Amino acid sequence: MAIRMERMRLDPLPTYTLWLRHMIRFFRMRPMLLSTIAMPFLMFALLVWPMGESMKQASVFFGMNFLDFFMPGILGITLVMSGMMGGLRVIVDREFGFLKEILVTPVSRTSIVVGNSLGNITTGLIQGMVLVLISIPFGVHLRGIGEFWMAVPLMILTCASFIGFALSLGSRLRETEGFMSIMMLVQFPIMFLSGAFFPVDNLKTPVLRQLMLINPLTYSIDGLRTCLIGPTTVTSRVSIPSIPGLPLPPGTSIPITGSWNPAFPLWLDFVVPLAYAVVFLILGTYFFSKMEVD
Amino acid sequence: MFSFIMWEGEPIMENVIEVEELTKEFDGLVAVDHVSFAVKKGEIFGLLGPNGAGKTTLIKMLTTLLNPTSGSARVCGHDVVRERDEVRKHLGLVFQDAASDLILTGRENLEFHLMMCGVGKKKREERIAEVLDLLELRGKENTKLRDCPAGVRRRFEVGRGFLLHPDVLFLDEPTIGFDIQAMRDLWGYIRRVNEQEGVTILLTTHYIEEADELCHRVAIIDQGKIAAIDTPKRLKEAVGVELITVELIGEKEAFAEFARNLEWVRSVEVHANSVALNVMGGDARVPELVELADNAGFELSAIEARKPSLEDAFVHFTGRTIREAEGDMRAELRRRRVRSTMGRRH
Repeated sequence: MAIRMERMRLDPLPTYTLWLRHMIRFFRMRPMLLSTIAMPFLMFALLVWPMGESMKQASVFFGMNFLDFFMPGILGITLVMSGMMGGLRVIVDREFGFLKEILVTPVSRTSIVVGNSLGNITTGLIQGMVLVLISIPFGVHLRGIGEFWMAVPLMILTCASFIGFALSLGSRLRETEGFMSIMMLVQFPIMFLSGAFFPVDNLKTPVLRQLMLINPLTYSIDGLRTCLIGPTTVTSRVSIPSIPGLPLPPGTSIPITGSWNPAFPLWLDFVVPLAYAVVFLILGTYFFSKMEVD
Repeated sequence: MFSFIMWEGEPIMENVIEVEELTKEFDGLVAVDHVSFAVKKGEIFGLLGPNGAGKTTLIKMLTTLLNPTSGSARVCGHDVVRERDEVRKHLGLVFQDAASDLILTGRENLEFHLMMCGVGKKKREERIAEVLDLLELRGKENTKLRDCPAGVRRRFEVGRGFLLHPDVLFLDEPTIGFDIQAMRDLWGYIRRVNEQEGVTILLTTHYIEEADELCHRVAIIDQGKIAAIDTPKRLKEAVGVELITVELIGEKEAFAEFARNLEWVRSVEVHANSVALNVMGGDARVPELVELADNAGFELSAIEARKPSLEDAFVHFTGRTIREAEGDMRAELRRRRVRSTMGRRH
């Protein structure tokens, strides 16, 4: 039987209610709270900092201090991941029967999708803020407080860009395991081809470059890097090994300069994730309109 | 919007629920099979049947949680597929199984529901206070449901259905897990809501007594089909006027044959241990039967006379007792569970 999608409409009180429920759960469940704070710290302490220490000279290649380059990348990935986790909520709610309690209320399905999304965006934002704060003692050079506030709406958009997708997926699947495996499958290309790990313009290979250009996270991370760190130029001394025939004293090094500039105009960094967020919001509303609970 | 029917000479009444040929299939398993009925405004209507008869599936279709495979249904004049949003505005629902957020407290679960329904703060306080008193949940409302005993959780779920006084209230096995006293209290409350607020109630139950005591009309449902719909009184009358059950030593078939020839015996059924006679003429037939049987040389070991119960009506219309039907169900569930480990659906 044909199920029509309902008109998009936002009910303020129910949307707030769903957000509030998310917040109460977040602060009541200690392990969740702990991991929110611990994860960014572990990322820096065990991944970014050791990598930076071991490849100091690579900064030239990134055009940026290693830590400065990776912080916005890790931030973008963290935000996308916590957005995607929103889909898991749907499956767990279905398991515990609470989903039918939500769906039977006369609330527009758009509000259900938006309310759930706002919850995840808020926790994602908290996690993002913690990550930025933790990065400072590790030696990341933030651009300035004005630009930092510019990054906040972009952090929200980064988190929002995939939530609708995750919620749609959650509404179609019944098992946590199924959801997690598909999530991984989707997350990896998004993470790796996003400019989180290397500068966008350095990759010229045709298909991979096009994939990068349709990935909203590429724009998010470009924007985050622009706002949080800004265009930079670094000079690094690269030591030259002794070459037979060339009379170089041992331990000679030459300075090499590299610079990083935004790959896209800043407005585009905002518009592309926003467009994805809106499209997936509509998709999510459609799937929630069709959803059955038994 | 509404269609009107005449009913026992009473004034014309609106149908609050209208169901036509409603069907739901899951992976080829027909859970609800071309079911049709109507519930009038102000009625307490019961669906009586064993677990697995399709009652919950039926309620889920009427409350927009499941989409019918075919057929149609209207609640308060709104189609449950095309006007789901309107339908949701008119209904209250108590689920059969758990549907609460266990991390939230009982009060928060109640408040969540009211806020989702767009109720303002002052009215929320009033309604929650009333429900807490009604279900004796005072003092338990600020504990996380995870830490509450199952009975308390259940009471919060039932309470949630009564928070708002909707036009139609769907109660899916409302008294499951209640002790007798709590059950009677809830029946009283259901009646009060029905009489004072005019709330139409559709409830499912597999307790014979609940259907008999509480419902104005009962639909007997088994294997996804409705076998009969009527008032409990008339459903019982359809079985017969009086039932006499006889246990005897010796040939049951011969006794049945003998009984069939008595002119006041309407029908005879032979069971495993007994013979059931459906007779006209009341208790007075018992001594008469004993004497006649004695004269004919039958040795009776026990005899019992009683009015037909709704249980008898269930047997009459479905050909088996509710417990037999549930036995089937358990076997069916086992089969389904085996299937679901291979497939996707639970």
